[in-house]
Amino acid sequence: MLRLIRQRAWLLVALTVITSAAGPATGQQKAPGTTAEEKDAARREGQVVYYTARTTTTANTIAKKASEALGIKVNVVRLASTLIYNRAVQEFDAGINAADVIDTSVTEHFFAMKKKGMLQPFTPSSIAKFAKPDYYDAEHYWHASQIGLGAINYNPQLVKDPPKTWKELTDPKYKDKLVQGHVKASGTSLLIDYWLVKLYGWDYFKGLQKNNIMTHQSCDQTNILASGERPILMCDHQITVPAQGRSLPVETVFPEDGVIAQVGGMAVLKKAPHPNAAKVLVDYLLSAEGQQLYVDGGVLSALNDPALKYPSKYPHPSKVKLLVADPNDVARMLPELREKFSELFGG
Amino acid sequence: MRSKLLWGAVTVTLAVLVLLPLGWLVVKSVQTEAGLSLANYAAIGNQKSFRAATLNSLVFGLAASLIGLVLGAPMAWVVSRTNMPLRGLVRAGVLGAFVTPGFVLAVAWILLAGPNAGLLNRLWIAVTGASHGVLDVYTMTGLVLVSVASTFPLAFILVYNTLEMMSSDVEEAARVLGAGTARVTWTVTLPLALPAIVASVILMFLETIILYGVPAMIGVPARIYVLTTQLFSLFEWPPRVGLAAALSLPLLLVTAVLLVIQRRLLARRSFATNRGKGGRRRPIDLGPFRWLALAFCGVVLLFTLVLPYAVIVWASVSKVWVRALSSASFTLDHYRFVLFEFTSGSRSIWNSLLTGVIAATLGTLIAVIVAYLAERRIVRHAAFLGFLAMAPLVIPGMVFAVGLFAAYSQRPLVLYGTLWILMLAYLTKFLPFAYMSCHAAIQSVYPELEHAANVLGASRARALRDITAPMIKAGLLGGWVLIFIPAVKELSSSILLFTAPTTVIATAIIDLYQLPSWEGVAALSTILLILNGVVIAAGNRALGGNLLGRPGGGAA
Repeated sequence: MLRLIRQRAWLLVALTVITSAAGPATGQQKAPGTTAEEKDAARREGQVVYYTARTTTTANTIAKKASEALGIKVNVVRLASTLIYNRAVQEFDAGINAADVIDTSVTEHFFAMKKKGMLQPFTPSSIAKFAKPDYYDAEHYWHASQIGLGAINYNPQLVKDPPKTWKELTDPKYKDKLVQGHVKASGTSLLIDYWLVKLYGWDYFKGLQKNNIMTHQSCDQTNILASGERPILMCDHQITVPAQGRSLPVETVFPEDGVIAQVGGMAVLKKAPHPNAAKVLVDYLLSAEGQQLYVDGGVLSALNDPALKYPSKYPHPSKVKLLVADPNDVARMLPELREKFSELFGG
Repeated sequence: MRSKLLWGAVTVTLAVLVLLPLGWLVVKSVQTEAGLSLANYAAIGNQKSFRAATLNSLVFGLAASLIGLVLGAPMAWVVSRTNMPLRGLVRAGVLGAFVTPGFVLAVAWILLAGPNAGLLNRLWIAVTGASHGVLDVYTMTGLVLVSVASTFPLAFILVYNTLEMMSSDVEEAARVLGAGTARVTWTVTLPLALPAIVASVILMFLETIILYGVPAMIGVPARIYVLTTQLFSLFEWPPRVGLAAALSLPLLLVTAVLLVIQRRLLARRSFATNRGKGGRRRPIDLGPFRWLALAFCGVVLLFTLVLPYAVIVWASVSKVWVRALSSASFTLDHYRFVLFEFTSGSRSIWNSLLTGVIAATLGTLIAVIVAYLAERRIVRHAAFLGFLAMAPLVIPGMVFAVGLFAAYSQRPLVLYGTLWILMLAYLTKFLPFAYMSCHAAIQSVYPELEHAANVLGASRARALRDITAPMIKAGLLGGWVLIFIPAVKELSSSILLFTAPTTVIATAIIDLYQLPSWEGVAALSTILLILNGVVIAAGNRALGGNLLGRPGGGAA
C-alpha cells in the first residue's frame, strides 16, 4: 500500500512509550514450534488472514508458497506498515477480529501492540537460530521477520564509479546527482539520517544541501533513479531487487561506513480468528524456508542459518557493517531530526 | 404536516452532514491535554514552517489565479464573441482540461519536464545538442503553471457564461452610437464582465490553495511546502488532529470571506444578464487576427491538455517509460497490472464508482428536495435550508476531511475506515453544485402546472413525481454529474480519509506513484480519464450539449 505511509511508520516512535518492563508470566513453558494438535486444528481452520507490509512481489510469493507448504489458504492483506498497524489497532479497539498474523517493517509497532495486549506469545521452532536476542521479544510476543538494509542505490548506466561510503556523498562531484526521502515521511530515511547525524553531525547534511540533493517524501525513487533524473539515491537495497526484476538500471552499494538496519517484526494477534493456522504460518515464515522468500526480496534474515542463500553478486549481508539503532535513542532524537532536517530541506 | 416532516428530516440531514464535522473541527482545535485552550493556535502561529507555508500558499494562489485569468478570460471572449475558427473545439478542450485531475497533470508534467529526464528536455538536448534541458518542473514556476492548467478553465467558464448571458442591448446601443468594436469591448463588455472576472480570480485562488496533488508531487521536491502539504504532514503518525484543526479553521475563514465577496460581485451581474440571452449577436470579425487568436488557444490547450494526455497514454502503454524514447515498445501489461494484480487497483475503481454513484444519487435527491422546498416556499425558513446546502462551498476539501475525521473516528459512530466516510465527504462537498443545478431547474417550472394537478385531485407528491420531475430531468442529471465527476477525481479529502480497503482511484494513483510505478500511474489515470469522458459524454448528450456550460457549473 502507500509507501509514504509505510515509510512514515517509524514516526510511531514519537508516540510509543517503549517499555521493556516484563509482563505477566505466560503460563506453562511449551516447546518451540507447533504441536501435532495445533497442526491438525490449523488444517481444520483451513485459512489464515495475513496482514503484511512486504512488497507486492514478496507478499504474493509468500501467499503462494505458504499455501502450498501448509495446506492452508493464506489470505494476504498487503498495506504499508503504518496502515497495517493502524488497521489492526482500530479493529482491536472496535472488537473486530479479522487478522491472524501481522508483519510490518517497524519494531515499535510490536512494542506498542504488546503493551496494548493485542498479541499472544508464540515461540517459533527456529528460535535458537536467531542471530541476536535483540531480534525478538524476550517473552516471544514477536520476532523479527526481516532486517531492511538501508544503503545507497545508483544508476549504473550513469554512475561508473559509485560512491563507497555515505560520507563521500558530500563531495562536490556529486552535485545535482543525489536524491533522498524526507525524515517526516520516510521511516527508512529517518533511520539513515539518524545514523548519519550520529556519525558525521549536521555539517554532513549541510554538505548534501550544498550538493543540491533532491528531497521527496518517500525514499523509494526508483523512477527518478532509473530515468536518470538523479542517479544516486539514499534508500534501501529492497528497492533494487524489484527494479532489476523490471530490468531497470538500479544497483546497490552497501556503504563501508555502515549499512542501516531496519528491523521488522511478526506476531500472532491475541484474538486471531484462526489461532492455530496463525501459529503454523508464523512458524513457517520464520523457518529457513520461509525466510528465504524474504531474503530473495532484498533483506537480511534475523536467522543465522547457512541454508539461507543470499545473491552472490553482493557482499553477504552478515559481512557488511550493520548499524542497529536503539529505538529509545531514535525516539529521543526524533524532534531534533525533524526540525533540523526541515530547516535544511523544507517541510 | 407532511411537508413539515420532510422539512425536519432534510434539516437534520443537512445539519448532520455539514455542521457536525465543522463543529468537531472547532472542538478539536481548542481541545488540548491541559483542557480547553488556544494552545494549538499558538503552536501553529509560532512554527516557522507553517508561516512559510502560508506565505508560499499566498504566492502560489495569487500567481496561479492571475495567470489563469490571463489565459482563460481572453479565450472565453474569443470563443463567445468572435469569428475565430474551431470555437466549439476550443470550448470542448477547455472543458476537457477542467475535468482532468490536477495530480494527473502533475505526473504528466514530471514526465514531460523533469529537468534531466523529462521528455521535452531530452528532445531539446537531442535537437540542439545542449548539455542540459531548459525546463524544470521542480520549481515555483513549474508548480504554478501545472496548477494553472487545472484551474484556468474556471476563468473561462465564468467569463464565458457571463458573456453568453449578457444582454446584447447595451453593446448594440453603443454600436449604434458609433463606437467601434474595440471601444465597445473596452468600455461596455469589459466593465459588464468585470464582476465575473474578479469572481473567477477568487475562485481560482481558492481552488489553487486547496490543491494537494500538485504541491505534493512537484512542490515537495522543489522544497516548496504549502498549507495543504503541511496539513497532510500533521496526519502522519501520530495524527495531530488538534493542530490540523487549528490550521484549517483560519483557512476556512479566508475561504468564506472570499466567497462572500465573490457572490456579492456575481450578484451585481444580474442587471447585465437580464434574463438570459438577449437575442443572437453578430460575431466580431477579427480578420487575420482570428488565426492569432486560434494559435493562442491552441498553444494553451497544447500545454494543458494535448501534451499531458499524450504523455500519459504513451507511458501507460510503454514497457518501461524511462526507456520509451530509446526503444519503442507497446504493451498492455500495466493495465493488466493495475486491474488485476495491484491490490488496490480494481478495488479503487469499484470504490470510486460506488462512492461516486451513491454520493451523486443521494446528493441529487437531497438537493432537489431542498431546492423544491426553498423555491416553492412550502415551509417557513426554507431559505435556511438553501443556505445549508450551499455552505459546503466555502469548505476546502481537506479541511472538511479533518472535520469528518474528527467526527467519525470515535464512538458511537466509527465511519473512519469505511466507504461511508468518503461518500459523506463527496456528497457534502459537492452538494452545492447539485443544488445550484436543481434550483435553476425548479425555478424554470411554473408552479401553476403543479397547482393544476392538485386541483385535479393529485397529491403534492404525485404532482412532484408526475409533473415536475419529468420537466426538471435535465437539472437533476446535471446535478448528478456535477457531484459524480468531482467526486471520482477528489484527492485532497480522500487522502486523509481512505484506508487500504477503502482506497479510491485518486489515492490508488498516489499509491502507484509512490510504489513507484509511473507506467501504472499512467494506466490508472487513463482509465480515470476514460471513465470521466464516458460520463460527461453521456450527460452532455442527455442535456443537449449544455453540461458544465451553465452558470452553476462554473464553481465546480
